[in-house]
Amino acid sequence: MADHEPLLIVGAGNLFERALLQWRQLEPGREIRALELEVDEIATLPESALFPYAPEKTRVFAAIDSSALNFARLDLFTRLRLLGYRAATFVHPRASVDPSARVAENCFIAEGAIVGPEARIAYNCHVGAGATIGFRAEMQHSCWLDAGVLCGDRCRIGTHSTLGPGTVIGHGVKVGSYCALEIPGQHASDVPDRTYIHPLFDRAVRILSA
Amino acid sequence: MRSNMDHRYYLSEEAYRREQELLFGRLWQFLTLKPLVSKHNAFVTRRLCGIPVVVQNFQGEIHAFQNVCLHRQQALQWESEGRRPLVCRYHAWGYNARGEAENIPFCEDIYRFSDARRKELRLREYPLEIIGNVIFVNFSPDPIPIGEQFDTGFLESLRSSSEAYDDEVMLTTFHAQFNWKLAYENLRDPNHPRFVHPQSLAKAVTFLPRIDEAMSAEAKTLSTSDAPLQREAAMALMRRFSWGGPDAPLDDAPGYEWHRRVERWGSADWYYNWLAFPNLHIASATGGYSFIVEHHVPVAPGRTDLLVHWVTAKKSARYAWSPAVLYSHMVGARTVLAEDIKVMEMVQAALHERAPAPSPGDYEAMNMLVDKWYVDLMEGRFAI
Repeated sequence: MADHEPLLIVGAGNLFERALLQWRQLEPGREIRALELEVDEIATLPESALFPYAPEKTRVFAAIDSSALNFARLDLFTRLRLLGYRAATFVHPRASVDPSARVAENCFIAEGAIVGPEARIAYNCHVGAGATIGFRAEMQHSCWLDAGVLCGDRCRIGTHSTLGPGTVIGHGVKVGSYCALEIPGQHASDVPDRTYIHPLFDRAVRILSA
Repeated sequence: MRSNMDHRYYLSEEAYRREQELLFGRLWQFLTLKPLVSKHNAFVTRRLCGIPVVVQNFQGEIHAFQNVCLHRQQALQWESEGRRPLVCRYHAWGYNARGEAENIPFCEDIYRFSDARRKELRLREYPLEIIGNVIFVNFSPDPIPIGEQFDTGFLESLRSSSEAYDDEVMLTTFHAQFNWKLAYENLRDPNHPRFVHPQSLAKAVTFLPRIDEAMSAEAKTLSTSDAPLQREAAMALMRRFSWGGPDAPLDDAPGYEWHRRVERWGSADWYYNWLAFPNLHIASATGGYSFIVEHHVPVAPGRTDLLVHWVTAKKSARYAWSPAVLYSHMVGARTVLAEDIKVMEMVQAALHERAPAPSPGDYEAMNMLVDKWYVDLMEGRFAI
């Protein structure tokens, strides 16, 4: 953890509770505060609630679970950035992030995750426990990889895509933007934008637009 | 009352083939939504009445053809939706808006077709009717006017409501194990939601079965009569099978943030339903903010492909998270669909040669009228 400014974790749900717990375990000497939001506060974020925490002296972490294709978390992150806050990224000490990899702000890299050489992870992403990001793989912003997801070398995950447990993305495969792949299995060919593979549906759900 | 519907109409291959010929082969049926083919070279393929059909945009003109190349019978378009010229991937024959094989590579050198033969090379085209954003197709060599199938009021309601559809369409297919007619008997039955959907649909909407005394008397008279329907009377009766509009008030209309970003159709907090006979159902469970378009495609006596399209009303301005809105609502709609599919699959599973005939009540008079009409059609007492 490179940041030592006071940290404010803002959000709700599992990621919020987990980030708070693990950050406090790993940085016992750091001032870490929590601002838990009600569901209807996520979209509005009352500025008054942030008043005691000056942007120039505080790092933030926007922590919302992967609902609505990660838009809720992006919305919260954006609001905090517009108020002048800079976001921290959590990398668990038992995760392995190659020194040549780049991880942007407001990301959460859980224990056991492996991020390969020259991989790029854009802002607001989540890499679950034991997930693997291959050599020169790319995660665009606001992606969510659940525990154990495997992304091969040079693959690309489009913005706002969520990959459920047991998803395997083959080497070089491109997953489009706004996808949700929720059935375990391997994807050996490209997945078009706005594709939803979910156990509730017999066939992939697609969004098409003119 | 006792229904005239025999188990054969749900189980028999012979009845299925006859139904494809006498009913689906003659009527206008839903093909797709116009926004899916609104750009040059955009296409949709479906298999209806056993016919592979492609509907494609050619510089703004929309045409439907048999999706089979005239050279080696290869499917011209492979995907169910997409955007590419109408060119066969096998030997690159290309077709124009009239269905003519306009480009045949190396034609003179290796095919050596005469001019007369070349002129004959034209895809079979099927007539289309576009009502608002809803595209219908007809496979009959002598199609009836669409106004003979649907009355003016219904067509106007369908046009007006469908013109409100946004051009971002979410779609999927369910492979269900029931005869398509069960879906429509179920959709015409307002008594089922409180028993089948107590924790989903019935929580938001109260559908009340009503008895139309005149219709009930008419159904009793017709269903016990041996006199066949005359064609004119049968066609007039069929037009009553399609209807649309407000069906039940929404008990607690939800107000989602995205509602402010679309141009709502109408202003009433009602559950809207449209039934387009024979096999199209449209509903708006949000009082005109969004629509679900369900196309029940028969694929076998006991199998139906349910194609589901989900759209919001037109966006007043684009917003980045519209895919999340569509996805979350499709997952929500799946709950209600799954409950209906389960019930209908269990009805289908229980059907057999010695199954008792249905015993509909007075509130099911419309289903009784459809039954009488259907049996007379299937038994050759009139033709469309």
